[in-house]
Amino acid sequence: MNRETERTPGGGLSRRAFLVQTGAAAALLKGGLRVPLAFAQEPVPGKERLIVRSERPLNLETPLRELTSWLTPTDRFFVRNNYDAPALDATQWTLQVEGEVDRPLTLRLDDLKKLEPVTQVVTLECAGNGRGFHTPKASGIQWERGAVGTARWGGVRLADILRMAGVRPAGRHVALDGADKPPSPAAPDFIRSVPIWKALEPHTMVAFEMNGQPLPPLHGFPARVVVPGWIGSASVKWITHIRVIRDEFDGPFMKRSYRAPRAEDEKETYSLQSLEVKSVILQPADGQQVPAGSVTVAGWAWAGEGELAGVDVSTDGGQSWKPGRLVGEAHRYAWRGWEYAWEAKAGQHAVMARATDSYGRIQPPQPKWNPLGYRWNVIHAVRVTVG
Amino acid sequence: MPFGSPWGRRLARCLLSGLPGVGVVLLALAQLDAPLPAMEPLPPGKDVDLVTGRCIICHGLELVAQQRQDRQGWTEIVDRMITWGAPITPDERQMIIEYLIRYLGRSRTP
Repeated sequence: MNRETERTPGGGLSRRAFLVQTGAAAALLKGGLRVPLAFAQEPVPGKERLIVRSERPLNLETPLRELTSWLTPTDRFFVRNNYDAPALDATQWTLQVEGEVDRPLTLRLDDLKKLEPVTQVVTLECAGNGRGFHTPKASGIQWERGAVGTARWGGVRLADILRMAGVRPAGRHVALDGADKPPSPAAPDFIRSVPIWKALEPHTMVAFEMNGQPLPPLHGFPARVVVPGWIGSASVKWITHIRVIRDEFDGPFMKRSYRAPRAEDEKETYSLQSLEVKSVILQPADGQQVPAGSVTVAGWAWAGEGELAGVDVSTDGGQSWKPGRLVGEAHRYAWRGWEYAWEAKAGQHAVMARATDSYGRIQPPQPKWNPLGYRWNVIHAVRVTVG
Repeated sequence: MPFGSPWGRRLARCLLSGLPGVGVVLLALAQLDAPLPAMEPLPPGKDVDLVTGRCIICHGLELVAQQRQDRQGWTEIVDRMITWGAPITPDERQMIIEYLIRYLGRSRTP
């Protein structure tokens, strides 16, 4: 177990642990013993169960043990911010639609709510989820497994908004700009773009509800984009400007970040789009002891733009694999439950899960290291003691 | 829960070890509602104050402390921060990069 997980035993440092680790115990441990590296971590109101990866800007990770339900409760949903979350007034908020359109629009929330409502369950995952496992360390937030969650999003289709504005033939990409602003005026605004085909896909939406409630400020109040199946950064929060443009947006959050080397030519990079095929084991938990006999191995699996084809499970450290059973609701862009009935014999076991998708993608045993630490989808393994 | 977690076990070891300073821990535990002490997430060392002062203008220090980069990596990051408005003079730039390589370099285990 590395220090990062030790520091956060299942979800944030407790106040007591904080004091012990940092203040009083630091003095205790001096003189020979190494003072552990620790961060100030006060629980974030409304997100008390989450691991604080960064306080400013706020970045919060969900411990795996809190991801037990198909829909992630909002108070357990991870938070990824490039800059501080703005506090917006819904009555003053407007959404500008501009660029390569016939009719530039200024829409208020009430205008959006006149469009056909859509509700869908979508899994969002940060492109850097798992970065903390890459060796050597890649720069960025050192996420482990919990920068992922699934919510029911309510809103309207981005396509319906674009249709109102009338996209011109020259418009091939859509730049998405939220109200979050950098701490220095010299720093670039957080702007992402998606190709027009993805913007017009009926699943891509401007959402103003999360799990049946208005979006909380940390999740983009009053409105955000949800780009299903794609890396989380495409789903721009606090959306205020939608600009139809000719080429991929030319800014550092498109041209520098969220890119990985191409397989064919490592010197070239490409802009990440679809999430990887991936699964996590929720039970048994890593390090858990279970009685011999029937044990249900279970977790979630997702595949971004792919369709989940199956999840195989190994209980012998990857020597042999048996198919798990997909369970629960199947939604195009949401994670799917899976389980495997294991007749567990006494001893130490490495239990592993490996998802495959309709593109033939399969979770690898080894990471695809890349300088910015994306695409971590290595087979998840947990150690289980039986008996 | 406290003694079941790794930190709880560490706490238990501290409490049972009879080391001088146990009283400090007990005092701390008795004051759980007191404001949290100010924290320094960056490893102490030459120029840590400079690094702290320049970085916290825009972001938290734990964002820095969780990185492990080599000279090239840190140089790129510091130069990007300067481009993005960090008020760092050329002399300070060198001192900051040297600190980061020394205390948050690739060879350091996180």
